[in-house]
Amino acid sequence: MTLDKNVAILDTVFLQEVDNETILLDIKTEEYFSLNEIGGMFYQLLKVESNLKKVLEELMEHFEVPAEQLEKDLLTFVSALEEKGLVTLS
Amino acid sequence: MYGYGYDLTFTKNKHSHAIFICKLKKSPLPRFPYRVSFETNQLRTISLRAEYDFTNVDSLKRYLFVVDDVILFLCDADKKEIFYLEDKNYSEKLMEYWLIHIVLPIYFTLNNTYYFLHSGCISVNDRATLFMGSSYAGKSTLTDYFLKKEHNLVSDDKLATYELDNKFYCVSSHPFHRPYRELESLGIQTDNFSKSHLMMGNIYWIEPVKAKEDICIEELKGLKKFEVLRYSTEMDIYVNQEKRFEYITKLANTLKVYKIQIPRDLQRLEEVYETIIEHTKL
Repeated sequence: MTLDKNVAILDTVFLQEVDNETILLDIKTEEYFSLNEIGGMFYQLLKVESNLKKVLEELMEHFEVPAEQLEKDLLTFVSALEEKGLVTLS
Repeated sequence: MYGYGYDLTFTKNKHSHAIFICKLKKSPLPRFPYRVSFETNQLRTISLRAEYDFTNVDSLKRYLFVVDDVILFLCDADKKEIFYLEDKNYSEKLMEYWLIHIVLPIYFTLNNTYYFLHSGCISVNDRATLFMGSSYAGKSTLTDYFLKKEHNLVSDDKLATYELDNKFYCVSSHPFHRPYRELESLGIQTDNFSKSHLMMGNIYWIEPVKAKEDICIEELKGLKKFEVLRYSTEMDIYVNQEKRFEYITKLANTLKVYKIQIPRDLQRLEEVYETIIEHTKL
């Protein structure tokens, strides 16, 4: 997984918040997932920006952590979403 | 029924949800090529059939609901009409059961009128108190006990709910409760029946525990709260799924959901009852 990928969120996946937890529901599989505050923020950014490099740039504006750490976290997160079938990569 | 009196023979009137229900004379039916079969229900084979693929549409207005060898319902939500056609094993009792217990909840779900929850529901201090849980957790037993204590029934099993001005309401559906399991039966008619829609109060998720354990109540938050409501969703069929997800999460963010541990001991039901009554006062 590298930053040169574009991410597309499937249109069968919906997002809502319950008590500050982000809940993702995939209506195709009927599976649902919970994201913590950081994961929720990552996901919200992916909804408006598909290019991972741009997502990382945006995240760097919000978090005071080394870029390498943020990149690693982002790529791990996107890999997990892909593994669960919630996004496609191109 | 559903807030407008229990009368299966009522005809169209001024109420917006009133439905004309009528026996259909044998005649060629329109073609409904798209078919969804459900798991066997009450040992019957049932299916929903429509004129077009209704996966993920906003609503479904015209369709057939078929209970093989018993009855066929032709529903038209635009005209507010449900016709039925008898099959070889038809009886009036079976028609009543399938209409009230399944067809009307499907009708109101596909028409986006109500969101159905699998729950016992009782009036406590003019608020609807909901009892949810997995199969054989004790929802009906607890609902029945509250009825014996002179509380009014809102609904047993399938509870119609709706939101109005950021408040959630429960609809009194039909005055029957089912303290026992009998196939294709509405259960026992009760006089203790709520005559009006009630604002939703506390929601309890029943977790049975061993007979000697304590009765504990714990508030659920976040995913656990969502899971309870999602698990308890009835009529989870394919229309309007994004809006239905919004509804259930708004419900989760508006109401409190508690897990209550209830000992498996009928002798302790009074203790459970008193604990819940005290808890609803908080």
